[in-house]
Amino acid sequence: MFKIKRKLPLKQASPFFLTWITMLMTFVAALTLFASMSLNNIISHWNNVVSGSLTIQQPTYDLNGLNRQDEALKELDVLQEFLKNQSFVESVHILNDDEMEKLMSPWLENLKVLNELPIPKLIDVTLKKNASFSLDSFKTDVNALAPYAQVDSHRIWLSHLIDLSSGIQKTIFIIILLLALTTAFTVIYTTRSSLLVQENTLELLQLMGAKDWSIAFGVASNSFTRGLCGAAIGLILSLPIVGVVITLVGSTPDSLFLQGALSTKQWSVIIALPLIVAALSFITALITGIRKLRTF
Amino acid sequence: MQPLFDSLPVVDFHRVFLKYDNGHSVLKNIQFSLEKGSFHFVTGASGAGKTSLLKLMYLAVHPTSGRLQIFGKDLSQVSASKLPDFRRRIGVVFQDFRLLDTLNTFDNVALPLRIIGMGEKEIKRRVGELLSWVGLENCMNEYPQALSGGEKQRIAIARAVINKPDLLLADEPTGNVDDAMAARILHLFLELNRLGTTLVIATHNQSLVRQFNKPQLHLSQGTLEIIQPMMTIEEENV
Ligand SMILES: Nc1ncnc2c1ncn2[C@@H]1O[C@H](COP(=O)(O)OP(=O)(O)OP(=O)(O)O)[C@@H](O)[C@H]1O
Ligand SMILES: [Mg+2]
Repeated sequence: MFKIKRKLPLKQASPFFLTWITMLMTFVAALTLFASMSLNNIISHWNNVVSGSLTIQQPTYDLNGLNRQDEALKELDVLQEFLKNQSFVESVHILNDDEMEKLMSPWLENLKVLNELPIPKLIDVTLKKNASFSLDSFKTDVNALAPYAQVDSHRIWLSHLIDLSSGIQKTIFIIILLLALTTAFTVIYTTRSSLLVQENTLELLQLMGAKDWSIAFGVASNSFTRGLCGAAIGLILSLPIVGVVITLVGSTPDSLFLQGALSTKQWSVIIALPLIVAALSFITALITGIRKLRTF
Repeated sequence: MQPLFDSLPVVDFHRVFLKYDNGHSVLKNIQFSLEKGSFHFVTGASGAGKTSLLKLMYLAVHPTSGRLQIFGKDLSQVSASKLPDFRRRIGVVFQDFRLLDTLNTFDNVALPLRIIGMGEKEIKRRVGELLSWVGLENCMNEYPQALSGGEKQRIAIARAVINKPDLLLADEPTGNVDDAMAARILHLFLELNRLGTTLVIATHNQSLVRQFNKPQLHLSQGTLEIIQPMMTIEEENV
């Protein structure tokens, strides 16, 4: 069958235009996919980390700025005991001074001031998987024991973030769909117009007994090759940009965005783009070709 | 695909009419049949419909009405997907050659063999042999633009006969070559005819018709009349 493709005079059947379009489409698709997959990874990582934990702040000063360190520390012990006894709590950890210093180090140059600042004690509570409980009644319980304590649930801002990201995901899906459709229409258009240009050749092949599907297969193979070349070039051109982004992100210390690193599976989808584009070109050209040839 | 009965006519026209899309009625009530291994000329004035008659036989146009049988099958009963099987058994020399400009001589002649998926080695052997027979072995790599009318005609002929067709339809196959080459080409046709190919040659060339003394399908004003060989000679003498 490939011999037919090589030997039958169908070379000009898929104009060079197709190569350019698939190059452009793959370039954009690769970047879009990279961005959407990274974003997805970051969000789902945050989601996992954040939804499984709570932070409780225990201030060492009251609202009027008076030091109540001793009381606060006492309450802290009580609170820790209370938390350990909750059925939905996996573990309770009060951040010690070293950990606090580490947490603050990006913001404070002189860590010695840490003791003089009204920095609250932090309790890191890890929740059991699939824990279900009422945040409101939990807060009430906590404040009964420690009136100044604040419960931070990250769920609130996270849910906004998740809304945002699912919006972005939908947009990206539409972009990818549009790219695929544009590519398909380009293939249909170029296949049709080139079949028209070659009407004489095709009629001759038909009169000699060439089967429609084998002519269409020849045309489609050309589209495949052109699609593959264009898409491969598009992918290669997108890689430096992806590389720059990865390097930039990698050079920020403790970056949140590191969690966006793509898995092997995700990379293979991006690397497979040229094949997907080529297959799309092939199938579209084959169907268009057969339908067009039937009308001769 | 072998015909069921060798005795069935290769071509059978039954009250065939042909009218082109522009309303031009070219062939009217055509009725004749060609036995396997027969040899006919198609004659008639320019515009009489010789090419149109051949087009019906090589399945480029369909009868407007009437029944056309090729290799014993009524074409109106044959599905489109089976038409290639018929066409592969028919060799055509087109009046305007219809060589492909993007292919060199070798590839033009090899086209029918590649369509049936023959191996390249066999193709090389056959094409080389035939091209030297028609005296074009030195033009194998030339493209049609660089060839004379007579050379193109010989390529068109080589392409038509390369696959030893059961039915050979030649439209003015000697219009562009000198008499010696014309005789040589006709002898090639005769050789194929002797091996069983049914032959139909449309021509203006009366000397050719006289020389070979075969029946004529004579067209005038859209109707067909069969002129038997003896009559031709008598007519010419009148
Ligand atoms: N595709 C077509 N559409 C409309 N009319 C056509 C078409 N092809 C041929 N004709 C007309 O049909 C008539 C017969 O044409 P045809 O080509 O069969 O003649 P011919 O006998 O082969 O002529 P010549 O000896 O000059 O080759 C002509 O009047 C021509 O104008
Ligand atoms: Mg003609």
